[in-house]
Amino acid sequence: MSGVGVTNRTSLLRQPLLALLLAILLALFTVSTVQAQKRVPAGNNTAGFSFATGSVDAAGRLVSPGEPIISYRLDIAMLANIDDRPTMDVYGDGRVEVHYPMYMKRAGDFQMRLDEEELVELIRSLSANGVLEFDDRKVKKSIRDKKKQSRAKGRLHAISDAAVSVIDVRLDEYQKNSSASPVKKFHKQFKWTNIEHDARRYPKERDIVDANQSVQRLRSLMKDLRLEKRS
Amino acid sequence: MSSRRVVALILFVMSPVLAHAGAYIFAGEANGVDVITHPSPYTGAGGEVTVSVCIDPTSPNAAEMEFSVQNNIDVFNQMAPTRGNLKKGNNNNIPSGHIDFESVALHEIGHCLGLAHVNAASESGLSDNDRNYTKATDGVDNVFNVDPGLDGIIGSSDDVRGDDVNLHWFRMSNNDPFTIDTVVDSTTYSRNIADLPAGHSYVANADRDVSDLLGYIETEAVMQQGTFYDEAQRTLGHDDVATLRYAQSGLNEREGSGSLSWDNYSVVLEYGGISSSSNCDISMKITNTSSLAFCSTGGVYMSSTHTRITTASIEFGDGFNWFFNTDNTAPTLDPIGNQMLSEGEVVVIDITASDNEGDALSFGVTGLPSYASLVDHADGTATLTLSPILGDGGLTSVTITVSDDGVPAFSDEESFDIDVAVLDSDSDTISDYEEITIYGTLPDNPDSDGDLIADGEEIKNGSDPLDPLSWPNYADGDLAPLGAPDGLINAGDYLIAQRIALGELAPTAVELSHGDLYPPGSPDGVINTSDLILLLKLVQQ
Repeated sequence: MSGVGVTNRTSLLRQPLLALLLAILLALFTVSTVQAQKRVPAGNNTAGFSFATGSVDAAGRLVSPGEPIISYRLDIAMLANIDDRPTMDVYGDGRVEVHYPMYMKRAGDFQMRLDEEELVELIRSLSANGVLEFDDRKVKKSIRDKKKQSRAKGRLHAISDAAVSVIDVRLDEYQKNSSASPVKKFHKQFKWTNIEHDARRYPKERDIVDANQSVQRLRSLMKDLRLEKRS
Repeated sequence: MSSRRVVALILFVMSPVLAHAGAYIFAGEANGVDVITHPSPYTGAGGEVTVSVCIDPTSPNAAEMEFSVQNNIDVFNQMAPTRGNLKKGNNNNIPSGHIDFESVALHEIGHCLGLAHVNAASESGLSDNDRNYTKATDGVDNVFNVDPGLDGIIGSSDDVRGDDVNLHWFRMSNNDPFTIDTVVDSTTYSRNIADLPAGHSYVANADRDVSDLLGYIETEAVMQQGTFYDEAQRTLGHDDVATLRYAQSGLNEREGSGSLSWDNYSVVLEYGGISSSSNCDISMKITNTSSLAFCSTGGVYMSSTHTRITTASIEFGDGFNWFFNTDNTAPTLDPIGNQMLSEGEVVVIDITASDNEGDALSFGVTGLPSYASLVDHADGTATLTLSPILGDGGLTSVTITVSDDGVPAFSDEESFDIDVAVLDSDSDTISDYEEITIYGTLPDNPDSDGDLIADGEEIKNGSDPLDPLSWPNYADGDLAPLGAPDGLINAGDYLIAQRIALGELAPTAVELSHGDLYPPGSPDGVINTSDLILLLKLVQQ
């Protein structure tokens, strides 16, 4: 029992010290994670969003964001059990990192930087092309219906080996337009198999055609002449 | 698990239980699980069906594609089932980091002829290794049921697949996709898992891991989706041939003669060249598609369970490192061997090479020393001339390469040594080159200063080979026999020294270098009594 009493007294004595220590740590932590952020207000027909362009560490240095705001990946079905895929990551400070696997002509790792205006425009275009609002189930159903109609006319069609385009977008906040509700910690994954074929085959399927434009834009960015090889 | 089995049983009762194959390009839940797909020119009448395969003239690398496409055509026309059709690493001619165009084209032509993947593949939506389960629909629960069974091998005969409806035909007698029956039709093959051999729970597919499991040399169906870079797969497996042959059993799905054979057909692929002719049934082209490759097929129903291809075109992505197979083989460099010669000698070596294809050959060399030259005569021969001068002595390693101009270019090479012996005309152990350029001694006279001590001996022991009054200080007392000391110290040496001290003999540099012992360490240039005393001590030791 006496042991318990001693412990309690010691805890009580330490409480102010602990509080002070916690306050100092909290202050340090706050300083080290000061975020530099880009905010783009929503318009009547344009998206608003915000994302971290970096953070300021305890020494006052600007640190690049660790997580990309846009990631693009192409899964090539014909290649078995090969994790190494063409990828692109775009960060809030405009940094663009591109990777091409060794089995591709451009094999290697590349880097470049978009200016702020280009980055904002890229995100806006993803929104304008519906990628950030893409309703996978609705579009798939629509495509299924079209295939059914085609089948009813006795016409069949198949694409043998797929390529799956995957786009991940992560924003601190996203608002489709000024009348929509903003979404905090926004994350959208767009994933579509053979999008270029579907865009060609179903030209009236606007969701697919528009999303394909974004996919093609990201693919073009992966070939941007400003990209410099790192390895 | 038991509820799934019940559902599966109900399904089979409800399905039209035709004992025929699946795994054809349009087969599936939407179009019908029993659908069999035929190549484009087949209309239901038996006989020979000719399928023209062309390369689009606007395609990049069209000329480089030709050899592989013609190989593919030969392979399909031969319809020869093979095992061990996966060639990896050093067992193929594919450069590192490249994808074999011929192997991928073989797979895509298979699709264009009506074949589907034997495995679940990417169209299933499954990921990674799960795509290697046998081709099936996801059944009434709309979820693929995937369990590799006790053997842990995906795609094998003990897989547990719940209500997944099999689309892959199989050989009823053994469910072994690495074998083929003599007759391939509905009497020997089935899509219905109720026809599986006893103890088998699902249809095995010709995946490479399954071939390992069954004890075959590593084999895989060409129509298994999934290739690797640096891997060649240029011949058909048993499963590929069986699927084609099942379709060729026609609308009644029976091989045979007489009344059964009216709809049997055989397929002959012909090369239509680099052409955009409307006669091309299958057209191939490299484009900017993001896919590695695909066959886009259009088709129509011939009956509720038979379809045929109406359009087929193949695209290959231009962003990939394609390897275009070629009939080119490496040239052969005839043996050269190590070369030995001396400074001042001239040796001329004829280099010859040959090439099976008669390609133009060119020679190259690395490590060639300055005294050598290689002349390429541009006719498969070259001349290597070695003409070392004084100072060129030593060992040099040289590599000669011969390369052809085939596509891709191949080469052969040989590394050998050129050993140039140092010239020492007077055998004084100093090379002629050093005598001339360093010491100024005579290369053809071993004793340039005439003091009877060889130049090499003097240089080695620090005396001047050009000064007859300079000699090495051996101070070992070895004087006898006179003029040719024998390495022994005895009375003979003392007697000679005594005769010199007495003036009976005039000492040469040889005697002075050995017998001038006094004062020790800095001899005085004469042999006298002081030297005799010291020599006597040496003799007495």
